Amino acid sequence: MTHLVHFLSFIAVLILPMVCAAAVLLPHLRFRGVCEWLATSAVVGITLEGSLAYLISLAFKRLFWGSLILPFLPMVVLAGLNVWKYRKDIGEFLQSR
Amino acid sequence: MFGSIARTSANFCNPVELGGMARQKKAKARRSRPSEFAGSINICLYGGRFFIRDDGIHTTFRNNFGDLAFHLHLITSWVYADNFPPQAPFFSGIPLRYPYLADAYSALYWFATGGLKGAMVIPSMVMGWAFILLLYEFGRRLTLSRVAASLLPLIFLLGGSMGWCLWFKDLFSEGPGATEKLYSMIGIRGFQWPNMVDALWVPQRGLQWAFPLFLVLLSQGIAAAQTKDRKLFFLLSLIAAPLPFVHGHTLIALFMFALPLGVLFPSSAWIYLWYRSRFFGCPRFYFWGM
Repeated sequence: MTHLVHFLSFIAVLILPMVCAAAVLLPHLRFRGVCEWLATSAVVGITLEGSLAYLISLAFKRLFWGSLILPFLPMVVLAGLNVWKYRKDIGEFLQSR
Repeated sequence: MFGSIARTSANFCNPVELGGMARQKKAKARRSRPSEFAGSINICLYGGRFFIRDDGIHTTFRNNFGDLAFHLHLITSWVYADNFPPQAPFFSGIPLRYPYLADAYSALYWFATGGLKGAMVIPSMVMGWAFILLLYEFGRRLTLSRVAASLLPLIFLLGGSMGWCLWFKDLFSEGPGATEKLYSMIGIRGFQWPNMVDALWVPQRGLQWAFPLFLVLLSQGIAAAQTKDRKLFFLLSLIAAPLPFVHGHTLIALFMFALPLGVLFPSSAWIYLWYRSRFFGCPRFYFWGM
């Protein structure tokens, strides 16, 4: 169980920020290849998420609260992006009800 | 908790001598293999400068004696003491104005995974490999030559002295054991200058984050200037905003470097990058000025 928690934490801290940053930045930034895309996603994702996690820890004066967003923030951002992408369909669905 | 940061010999630091001769003999006896070679480069650049053993924490380079202790102090103060808002470790009651995002992230990583060495080494390895890729791509954007772009990371990382020649020699004869030695500033061999990795990359943890971020901003700035894309410049200014939090001098270097790039790749949007990143970085500047 401990190993599973550590493994999931590892994914949350290092992999998900990259995926999140890639999803957010991919339409905007101009890359020359997959390597640059991957490296940029890693750097920007970890930096922005690290900054945000630290600021939340600072606000609550406990590292625990900042660490909570590590697994959740990328998922929320990806879900938000999907909602934004399909906002017209969602709007039509809500209006039809 | 942290027993000692042991110093070995002044010119040729080798913690294997402290750890025991058996391990050294085993490393020498082992034949080098391609996988070990690639792993050794990785460990040597990012993990081979930091060892946790029963008698304490060891490092191989004298520049790291002070820096490593300082960074460990910051990280442990967050993990164990909830040092919020952070105070300077050497002036009680004084706010910490050092750019500490790398340490804050390591503290979060340690808190999440429970491992100190992973918290120190793994983010650095990710940033290090990202830096090499980004430096290559930056070289390609700047020179339009693959050869020049390939030489750029080599010159940058191997600069300082020719000690890496000895390292390659030992790597093939000793295998991973060679990663625990230091190959720059060896006075008796005439290598008077430190290597880039030893002198800056490993001791100054903020630079491990700032260098790749700096290259992202420059590479994408060039792309934005070529396509006259002001939206991209706006996005870049958002990415540049945490730079004072990552490494303060890098922000100054970014503005200095943007000037010649603005001449090579003219676009009025470079000015937007300059003042917008200043605007988004205002809270940090205010904190510095307090």
